Amino acid sequence: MNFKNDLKAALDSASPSEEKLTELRLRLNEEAQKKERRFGDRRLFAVSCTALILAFAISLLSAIPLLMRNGGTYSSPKKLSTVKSYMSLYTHLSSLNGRGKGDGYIIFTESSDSALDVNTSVDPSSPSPEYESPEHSDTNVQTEGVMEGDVVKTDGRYIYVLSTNSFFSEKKVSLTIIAVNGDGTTEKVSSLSFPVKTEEAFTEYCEMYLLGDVLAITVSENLYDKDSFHNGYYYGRYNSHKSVTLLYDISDRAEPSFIGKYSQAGHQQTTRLKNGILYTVSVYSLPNTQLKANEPETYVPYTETDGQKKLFGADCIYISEYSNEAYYTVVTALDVKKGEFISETSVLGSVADIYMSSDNIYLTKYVYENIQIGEGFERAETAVKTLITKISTEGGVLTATASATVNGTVNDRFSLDEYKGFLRIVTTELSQGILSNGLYILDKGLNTVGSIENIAETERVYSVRFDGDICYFVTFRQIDPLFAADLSVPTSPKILSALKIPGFSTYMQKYGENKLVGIGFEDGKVKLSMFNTEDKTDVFQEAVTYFDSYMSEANYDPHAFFADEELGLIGFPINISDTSDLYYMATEYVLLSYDKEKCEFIPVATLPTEQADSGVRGIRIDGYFYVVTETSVTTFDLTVFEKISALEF
Amino acid sequence: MAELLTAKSTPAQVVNKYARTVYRLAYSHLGSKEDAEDVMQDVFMTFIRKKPVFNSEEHEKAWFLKVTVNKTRSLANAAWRKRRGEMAPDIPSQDTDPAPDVLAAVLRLPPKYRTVVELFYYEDLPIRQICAVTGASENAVKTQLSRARDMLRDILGKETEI
Repeated sequence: MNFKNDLKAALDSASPSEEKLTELRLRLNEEAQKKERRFGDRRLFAVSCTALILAFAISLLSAIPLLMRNGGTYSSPKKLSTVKSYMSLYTHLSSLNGRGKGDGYIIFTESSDSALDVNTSVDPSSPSPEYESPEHSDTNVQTEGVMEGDVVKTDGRYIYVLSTNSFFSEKKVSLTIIAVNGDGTTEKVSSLSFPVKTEEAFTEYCEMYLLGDVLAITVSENLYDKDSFHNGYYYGRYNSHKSVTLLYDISDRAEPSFIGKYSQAGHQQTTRLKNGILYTVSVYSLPNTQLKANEPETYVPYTETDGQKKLFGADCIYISEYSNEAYYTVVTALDVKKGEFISETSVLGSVADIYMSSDNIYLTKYVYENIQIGEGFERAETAVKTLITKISTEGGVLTATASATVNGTVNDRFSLDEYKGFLRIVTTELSQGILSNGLYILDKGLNTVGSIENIAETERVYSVRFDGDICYFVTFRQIDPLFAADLSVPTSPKILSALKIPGFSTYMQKYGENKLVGIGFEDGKVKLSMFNTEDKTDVFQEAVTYFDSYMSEANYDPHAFFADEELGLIGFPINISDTSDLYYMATEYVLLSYDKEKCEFIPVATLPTEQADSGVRGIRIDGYFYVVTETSVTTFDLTVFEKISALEF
Repeated sequence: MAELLTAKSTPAQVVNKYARTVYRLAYSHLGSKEDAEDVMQDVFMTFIRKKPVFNSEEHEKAWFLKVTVNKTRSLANAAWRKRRGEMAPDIPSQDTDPAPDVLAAVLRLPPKYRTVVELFYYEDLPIRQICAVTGASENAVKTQLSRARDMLRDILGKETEI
C-alpha cells in the first residue's frame, strides 16, 4: 500500500457538510456587514519593496512623557508565593478542570524557603590542570559565562559528536569521541550508542555539555501510556515526559563510563551550565490519570536520582498571577561533579522562551486575551502580553523572586537581556489588528522604569541583540529596519537610528567592536549582512551576500553560527533542496572570510555533506577549522584554506 | 489558479476557496467532524475580522493553514483538559466515525505529529513551510515526521510505503 495516496483519498472524502458551509457563508456575511458598519471602508495599501537607508534619532525627552502618559497601564510586579500545602495545591488544580485562560488569580500565603547547603567555593568548569588544551572555539552562547548545550563540543584535544536521530536514516543515537592531532588530522577514539525506542519510552537525545572529565547528555523521555497499547498497536498518547541528564566519566576517552541518571518531571525545554551547575527547565503536564488528593505523586512534580523519586516540597511550588493551567514549569539545579540535585523550584503554568543571565533565569509566558466570537464561542484568541517570572540562581539556589507583565510578546530568548541589574525586553504587540513594537526596561524587582512604545507600526520584530547600553533590533514587513536604541539611562531609552534595507535578519551578533553580523532572508534566499555600528546614530549595512538556499540552521539556532572576528572568519551550514524532489535535502557548510578594508565577504570554502538534518557545526582548534557532521569530520588548514583531511565514522 | 483573496472578496468566495483545506487539516488532528467544523467557523471568523492582506498565493494559503493549526491546538487543549478527569482515551470511535485505515492510523499518532503528517503528505508542503505554519523549528518538524513514519509503520505494517 502507498500511504500518501491512501491518505489523500481518505482525506478527500472528508468534507464539511453542505449545511454547515451554507451556515458559515451566512454567518460571515453578517459579520462582514457588521464590520463595515463599525469601521467604514478601510483601505489597505501595500508597502512598496524599495531599499531605503535612513537614520533618525528620537530625543531623550520624548521617551519620558510617553512613559508618564502610559504610566498607569503598567501592571506592577507581583511577588510570587508558594503554595501552602499539597492540599491547597490539589484544590487549586482541581478547580482548573475544563477552565480557559485569562483570570483566576488565587492568593496563597507564603512559606519560608528551605535553606540548602551549596558548595560554591570551587569552579569545576575550569579545565583540568594536567594539560594545556589548545586554543579553540566554543559553542556560540547568548550570555558570556553561561554555557549552552549542543550536539558538537570540543575541549581542544577531542571533538565530541552526539548523532541524534537522523531524519532519513534508521541510525541509532550515538556519541562519538574523536581525537584531534596537532597536524589537524583526526581519529575516532570511541563510540557509545543509545536506544531510542524501548518498551517504556521514546527517547529524544538533545544536547551535550563538557565539564572537564565529565560529559553530560540531556535527554527527553516520552513515556508511553500503557493503556494506549491495544492489540499491539500504539494508540498515540504519552502518559508523561521526563527530562533526563545522563552523566558520563570520560577521563578515559576510549572508554566512557556511566555515572548516573538524573531526571525531573516534564518535557525538556532548555538547559544551561554555569559554575559546574546544570540548570534544566521542563514543562510538566499532569499525567493522564485521575488526581488523588491523598496521593501527591499524582499531581506534584518530582526529581529522580538513579530511580529514587523525590517529590517537590510545597515550598518549592510557586503560584503566579496567571497560574490557571494544569502545567508546571519545573527548574532544577544539578551539581554535575557531585552528581546530585542541589535545588529545585517550579511555577504553575507553562513557559514560552527562557533566558538565563549570569544570575537569573527568566521565564516568559504568553498571556492570552479572550475575545468573544459569536454566540457561545469563547476562544483564547491572541497573546497580548508577556508574563516574566524571575528565578534567582544565586549560589545554585533557585528562588522565584518576582513576576511582571509587559505588553506584547517576545520573538525569542535574544529579546531579553539583563545588564547592570536591569532587564531589558523587546516585544511585538498586536492591538486592534495593528502590529507595533515596544522596548521595556525593568528594575531588579521587575518594575517597569523606562520604555519606548509604538515603534515600527505594522511590522514585527525578527531579531534582537543587546550590546551593553545599546540594543539593536530588526523589524520587518517588506523592508527591514534595523534600529539602534541607547539604553544607558534606563529610565529614558531612546532610538538612535533606523536603517531600512530589503529582507530581514533572524539572528545577529557582534563582530568586533563596531560591527554586527546578521543572518536572515531576502526574497526567499539566505542572506548574510555586515552592519557598521561605529556611529550608533548612523548604522548602515556595509556588506551583504546571498546564498542559493532557502534556510540555514543558523536562522533559528545560533549554535550553528560561527564567527571569529580575529580570524576574519564566518561559517554556517545552509540547506540545499531540489524543488522537483520533495524528499531531497542536503546541507552544505559555507566558510567565508570578511575583508574589513574592502567591506566584502569572500567565499573561502564550501563543503557539501550528506547530512539532511541539522547539526552540522564548524569549530576551530589552533590553526585548523573542522566541519563536523553526524558521521564525519573534515579538516581545513586556516593558513592556506585547504582541505587537508577527512574522517568518516 | 484562483484569484488572491482581497478585502473585496465575498464570504462565499473565501469559503469556497479554503473551507475544505481548513476542515481537512483540523479533522486530521482532531478526528471529530463537529470539532473540525467548529475550527473551520472560527478560522473564517478570524479572516473576516482581521482582513489580512496577502502578497502571494503561497502566503494566503500559509495564513489559513497557520490559523487552523493555532485554533486546532486551542480546541484540542481545551477538550483534552475537559476530558482528562474522565481518562478518556483519544481514539476516534469506530462506530460513529468510520475513518479509512490510514486516517485512523494518523489519528492514533500523538496530536502534534498528526498536523505535520497532514501538511507533508496531503498538502505537499516543503519542510520549511511546515515550520512557518506550525511555528516549530526545522529540526523539530523533521524529527516529528521521522517519528510519525516509524509509528505509522508500526501501525500499518512494515511493508507500507511511507
